[in-house]
Amino acid sequence: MKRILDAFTTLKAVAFVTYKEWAAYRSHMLLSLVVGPAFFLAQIFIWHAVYAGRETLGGFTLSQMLFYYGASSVIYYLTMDFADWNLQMLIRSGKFITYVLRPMSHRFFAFSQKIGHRILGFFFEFIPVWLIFYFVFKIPLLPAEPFWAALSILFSFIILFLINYSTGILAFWLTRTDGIRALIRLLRDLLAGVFIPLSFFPEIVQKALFFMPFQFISYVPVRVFIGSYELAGWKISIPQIVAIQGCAVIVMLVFTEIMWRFGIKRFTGVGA
Amino acid sequence: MNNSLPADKLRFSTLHLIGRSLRTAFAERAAYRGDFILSFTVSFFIELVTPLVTLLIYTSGSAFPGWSMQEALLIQAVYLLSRGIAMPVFFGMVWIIFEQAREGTFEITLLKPRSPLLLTILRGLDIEGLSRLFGGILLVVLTLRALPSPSAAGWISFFIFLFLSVFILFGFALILAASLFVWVGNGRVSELLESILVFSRYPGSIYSAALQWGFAVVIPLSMIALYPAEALLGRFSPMMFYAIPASLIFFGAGYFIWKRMIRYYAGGGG
Repeated sequence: MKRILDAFTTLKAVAFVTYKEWAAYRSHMLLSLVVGPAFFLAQIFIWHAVYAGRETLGGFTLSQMLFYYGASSVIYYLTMDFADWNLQMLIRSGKFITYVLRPMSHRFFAFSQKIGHRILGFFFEFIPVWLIFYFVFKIPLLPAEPFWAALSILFSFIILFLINYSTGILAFWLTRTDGIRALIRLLRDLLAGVFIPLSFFPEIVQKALFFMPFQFISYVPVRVFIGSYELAGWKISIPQIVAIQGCAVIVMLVFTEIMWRFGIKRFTGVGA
Repeated sequence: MNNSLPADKLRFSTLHLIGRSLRTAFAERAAYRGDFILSFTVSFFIELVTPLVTLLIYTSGSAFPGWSMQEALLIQAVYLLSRGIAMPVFFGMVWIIFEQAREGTFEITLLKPRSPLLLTILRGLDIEGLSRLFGGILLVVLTLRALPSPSAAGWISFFIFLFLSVFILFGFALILAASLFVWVGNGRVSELLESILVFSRYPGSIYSAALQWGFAVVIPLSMIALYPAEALLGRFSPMMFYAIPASLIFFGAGYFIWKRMIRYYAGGGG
């Protein structure tokens, strides 16, 4: 129990410092007030044109499709991180040595940083953009089942962190990881349903995507937010898909731990 | 460089400067060859996401009104081609200004005996971004093979419009870079650009008439990909010709903003 309380105290301290650090750049975050709605406006034009004379596409009605992109947009503000960039920068520059000397896991430290950063994002990105969707686009982004939606977003928050952190670990082998990070980011966003719902992909691809971790980053939380889940013709109840998402968190934790144990052996630093 | 050399030997012609900058850019990336090759390849595939979305929309049985799949893909191919020219050449400067304004080292560029704009562009040359150009050329060729051959007037108009398209993107690069002199350290300016450029990747018919005019004469986004593609398809309209002066004015505005904002740079001695 004491260990858990100590960990929570550390998490709170790191998150608070990160919050304060990034609050200095809050005007940068406010850029999301333009970027998110602008992308969404483009989606409105695209899908209104594409849906002309059609009732459903890829299993979505027009209003469901706009809700999908709206929910995807605001959920991103709650889950986004750049743990991959941060870790590879520390490894490449040798600054990582200062973290090796600290009496806490770097993964936990980075996760605490993400919490602080996203709490700031909640106030300066999520709430304003949610209000823009509500008042400007008249789309009330309210989850069909709030408890399951919150849990799914929490799992998505952890999975995205673990995928990004695993990508950052590759710097132990590659030193410079711009290329591999860009590749994984491309695959991650494409296969997570960020650009287009996964139900638009051919069925055989959808079947393959079901067994990959990427759908749990965006597609699953958005579908849980909407209140129905379907991929590759498989309809799964909301509690079941969230439970599967929870299993994916455990798998990713184990995967990251294995990568970390192999990777850390390769680290060399000469003081920073 | 040795300061005892005569001044005339210190002066490189612009071509020499470009040559040296390209060699340096190659040498810098060659230090991590594997990463370079991967980045080069990935840059190509990243740009194929929009055509892929279009492909998925059309294969699901829907369409952009008045546009076949090949025609819609041609717009996105031209977009890729234009980005393939502009991004590697002009957009690296945005990150150079981002770094130098944040670190307070831009005065080193200002002290050099050449145009700060030229030096910043050359310093920012992005070799791996050239893969977008190859991707654009490939996609234009592939989509054109499935479409009727463009007329001579179509080709001539296409090249003129493509030239203007690159100039518009250059104008955007100047505005973004200039904004970083006052909005120091804002690494998200590229997101702002992408959120604007997203409107230039789709057929004009999806927008309202007012927006189509806005994208022709206010911020000439339609000149980036739509009008060059329409020229190849032989679909000429008066609006695209109104967009010609608008494109030049937009670039001029970008250059003016750069010249004004550079005065706001504040450094601490490099």
